[in-house]
Amino acid sequence: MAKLPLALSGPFADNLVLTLEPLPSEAPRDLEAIAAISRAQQHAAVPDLHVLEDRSEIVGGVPGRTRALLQTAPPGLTVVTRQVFALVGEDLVTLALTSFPFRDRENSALMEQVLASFRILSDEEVRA
Amino acid sequence: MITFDSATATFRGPAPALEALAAALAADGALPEVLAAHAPEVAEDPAMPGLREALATPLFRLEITVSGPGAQQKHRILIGANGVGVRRSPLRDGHAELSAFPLGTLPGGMTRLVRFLPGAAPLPEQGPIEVPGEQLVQLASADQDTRVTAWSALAPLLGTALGEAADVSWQIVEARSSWRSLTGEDSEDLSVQIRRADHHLLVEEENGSTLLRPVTSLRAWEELIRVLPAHDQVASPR
Repeated sequence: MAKLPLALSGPFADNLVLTLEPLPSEAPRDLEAIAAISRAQQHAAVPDLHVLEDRSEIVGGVPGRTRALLQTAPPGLTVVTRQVFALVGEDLVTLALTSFPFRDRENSALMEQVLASFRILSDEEVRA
Repeated sequence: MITFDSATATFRGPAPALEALAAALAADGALPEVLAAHAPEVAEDPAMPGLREALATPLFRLEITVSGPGAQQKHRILIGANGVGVRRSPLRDGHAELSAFPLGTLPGGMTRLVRFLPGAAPLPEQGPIEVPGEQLVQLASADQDTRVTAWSALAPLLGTALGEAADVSWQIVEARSSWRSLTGEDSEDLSVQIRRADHHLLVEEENGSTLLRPVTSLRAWEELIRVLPAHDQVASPR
């Protein structure tokens, strides 16, 4: 969705990604179950994952989840990912900012600004 | 006896002997002579020159003290001009370790040192809690009985404000950074926070009062990491 220019993005190339993922037919349609599965997958895939936050929250106006986690990225840097996600119909909507913690003041402010204007609208709301 | 683990670039040994080794490593002597004098069982390792350079050229220092009912641990970290960090941490039975790491992993290292845990979000009505300042000082005392007594006095106040705790665990984390500014002044920053079960609270001073502000765990982590100086605040030691 957004990647800062090289001069501004720091050694890790801070990036903001919005994902709309159609759920496979075998996946549960319950957000708490999806959250538990995705957290188990993250722990399995990332050897030094450290969870900073993982709780329910209203995301873009609908019930969702907020999660923050640390990992060591390939150049040998700690990076922090702040992500929110929500289940909208058959799609999982995820917004994630991954950034270098030494620039954390700028990045937490950026995430707050993005979330303040982030809305998940139904088809009816879009048409209205 | 001092040992060296080349997989993790870590010296381990009795704390006083390790301090003497660190002082010798920071000085100018040839590495084989330093090892022969202070760690005769240890062979040279490719990680040692970087560790020495960092000890000799500290850009900034960080002291993290984690105090809880069962133990208190004080970790001393410095970051050298070469981008290598050196951490000194206590081990059991009067032993300690001296470990080198790359600067880029410092935020993750700090998070693990304090055993940071995700928590619950405060409710909107849970505002700052005024507490007696001396109780917080006692909470971080080196004496275990003093810490436990101080927590017993503080716990009812927190219980009234936050409700029953999910478990009996608690800790207070003090992170203090210090560096020489670009204009040559000695500068420092301090972050103090408490975790009570899954509640995170920032310690704040306001108009002479001491307040504990309930925050999300992410906000508490941000406060811990922000004790680090920005790259444009720190003067080169060379």
